[in-house]
Amino acid sequence: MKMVLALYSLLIAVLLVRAEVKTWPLLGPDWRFAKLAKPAQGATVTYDLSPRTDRSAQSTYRSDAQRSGRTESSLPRFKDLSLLWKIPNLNNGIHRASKSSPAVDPEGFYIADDTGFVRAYNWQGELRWQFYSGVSSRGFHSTPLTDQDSLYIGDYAGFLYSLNKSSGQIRWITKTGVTVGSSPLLHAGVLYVGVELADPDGYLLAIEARSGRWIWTSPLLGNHPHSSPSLSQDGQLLLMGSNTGAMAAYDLHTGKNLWSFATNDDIKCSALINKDRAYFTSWDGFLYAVDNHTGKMIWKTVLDGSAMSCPSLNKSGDILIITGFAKNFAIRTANGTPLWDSAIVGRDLRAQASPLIISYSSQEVAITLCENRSLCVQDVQSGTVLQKVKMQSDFSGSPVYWDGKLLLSTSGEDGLLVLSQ
Amino acid sequence: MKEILQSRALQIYGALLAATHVLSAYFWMDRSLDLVVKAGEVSSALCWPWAPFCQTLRFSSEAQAAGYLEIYALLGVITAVLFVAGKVRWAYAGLLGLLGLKIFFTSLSYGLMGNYHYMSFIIHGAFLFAPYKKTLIPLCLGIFYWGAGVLKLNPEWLSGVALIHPTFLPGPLEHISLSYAVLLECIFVVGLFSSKAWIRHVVLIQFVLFHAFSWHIVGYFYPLTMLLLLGLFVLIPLCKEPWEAEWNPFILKQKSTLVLGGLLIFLQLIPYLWATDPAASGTPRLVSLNMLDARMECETLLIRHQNRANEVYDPFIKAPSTRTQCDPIVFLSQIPAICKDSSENMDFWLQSRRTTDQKMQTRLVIKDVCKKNPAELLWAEVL
Repeated sequence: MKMVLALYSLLIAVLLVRAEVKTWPLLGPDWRFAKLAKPAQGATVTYDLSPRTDRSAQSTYRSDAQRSGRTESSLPRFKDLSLLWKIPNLNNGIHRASKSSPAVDPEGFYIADDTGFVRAYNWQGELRWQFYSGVSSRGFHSTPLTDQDSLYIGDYAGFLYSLNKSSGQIRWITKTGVTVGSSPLLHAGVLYVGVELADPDGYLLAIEARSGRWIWTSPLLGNHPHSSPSLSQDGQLLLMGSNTGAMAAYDLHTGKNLWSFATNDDIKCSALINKDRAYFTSWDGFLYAVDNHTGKMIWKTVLDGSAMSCPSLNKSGDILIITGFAKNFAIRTANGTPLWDSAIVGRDLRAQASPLIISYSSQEVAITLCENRSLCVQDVQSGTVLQKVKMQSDFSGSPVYWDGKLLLSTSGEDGLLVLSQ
Repeated sequence: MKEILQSRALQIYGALLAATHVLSAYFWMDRSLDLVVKAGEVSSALCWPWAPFCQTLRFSSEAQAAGYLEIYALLGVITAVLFVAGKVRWAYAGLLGLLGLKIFFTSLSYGLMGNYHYMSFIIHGAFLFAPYKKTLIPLCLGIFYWGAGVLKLNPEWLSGVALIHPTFLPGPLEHISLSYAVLLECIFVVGLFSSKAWIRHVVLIQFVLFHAFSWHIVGYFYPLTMLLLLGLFVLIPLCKEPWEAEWNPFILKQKSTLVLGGLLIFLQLIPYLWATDPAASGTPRLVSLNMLDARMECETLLIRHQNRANEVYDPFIKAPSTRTQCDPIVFLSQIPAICKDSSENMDFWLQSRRTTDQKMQTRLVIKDVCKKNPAELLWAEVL
């Protein structure tokens, strides 16, 4: 009996030591539980998974994985825009954060809003399907990403969804954190998206687009990432900003933090990557150009105040169009000097919209917020206003262009505006 | 009955068991009346899997429930007095009645689930119906401690995250105390059955101190209940009766004690056999201890499938208690009230993890929940 008791005691002692070994890394300096060193992984529930094994993005927030904010038109020059459709009841403006921008691809357009709906329309303007997330009172602020057969989007409750692009049926759902305001990026079958946690904290997540299987999580950031990740042109690293004020680079395959560049305030929008440079704004009022391999600053340019807009780059890569606090700027990429600037008339709050450059075969224009509740088409080289479109409401996302049509999600009565050339 | 008639220690222990009912009445009166009245709130639909229609049994008002508890408490006092007065037959009947009243009251809401009630029910069973009471009752208490100790062999307990409130101890001392509690419950508990009285007393004092210390963490009810249940360890020597719960050949002859003790141990193992993580389970844990061995985090989702219009919701209300916050039964109970009609095509998804775990695990995915009846839902974890 004594031998049995001794062996039993030994077994319990071994189990206790094993549990202690697992416990020690979880304890803080006060010997009490500190938070987990890495983000906790969510489970994924799967339904109708896509049979495709290869996939590439058809519509990405800010045009592409480098977040260039530029799109091409087959037309030779800009032609005036006129209202084609208006889809009311989009955002209700419940939260001041930038609203979701439309996604566009050959099958149609997709809009998500802060009331919790994602709706898919064909190019005749007919509703194809809708999906409703009732888990957050703030709905969607992330912009949907589409590939050949699926749509991906995160909501303000931290759920990330993959939907069948044709029917709206759920492919998979995973819970990533408390909020996804960041817009996903797709590269080689893997989705990358910024995730916000309570505390506040956050991380960059890599997840298999087809199955929703978690691949890696970056280290915890220390604050929320409202910014969306951008991919370097060599496809080796991802850049993402956050409310820590840092723009950080992560290894594409492991999520390891490669470098971090500190600004003096929150970084809200995505970095634009062109060749070896990344351009981004900060609430500290500067536009930065940074070497995306080393994180060393190349130049910085003071804007007219705190900025949260994403820059757009023209086709030749020598001019950036950026919205500051209450001004639009054209900046030379060579040295960061302004080419022109124009005030956003009547603006006394920080502008949230990001511009879009449309490259026609013989002209480039920037679609900007140029006046409260007005959208302007400005010549990229000169800043000349080619057309001004008055609206009933403001917009805070990014305009999108597809086959002669300009789509704009507003945060008021206008809903979704579809303008046609 | 014969054993109780012959043992003064058991008679006074009967009074202590009756006192647990008075204590339960006070405890429920204090905080649980809203759980046992008929109400339309989703959270109030919490039923035990074996009483899925518990709402139909509930009181129509809190005043009615309070009246029931007053009678229950009064019967508890009378029964205790009868035991002390040596009116054993009446007292026995009184305790039987109290047990019935408590079973009925507890059946009214799964929100009344608690480790303290589970242990109390088992000890009542041993006291009222089993032979060799003076061996079996200490053995059951020892098994409770052992079962609770085994549940604590994890980072969740050792890091202190499972505690409802942090202790007043400095961090290092708290950590050492938490580790020692595991050793006490898993190993030193054997000392309660030593033939040497001083060893039994040393171990017993430690358990008494353990419960007294836990007061500021878990409140008054748990420690007071345990102190009452532990009373037999004091009453037998106090009444100068022979100590029978020892590891000796005599115990091997008490077949029923061994079988019942073995059965109780088996019940503690059921959650391990049935669920990937006992702390994340509901139904598999109904027959075992429900310790505060983990602080769970969970996410729930209802997924409605419609033609070209899918929707997701999280209408679930989490239970306020740490133990049941992520208990699947809490969410499954709410589903019938959430489903408007059985034609709705809705799925339920529950994922959870211990706070110290790195990954959420899917615990339940139930398709077409609105087409299931309440019993099917409440037993979904094991069906």
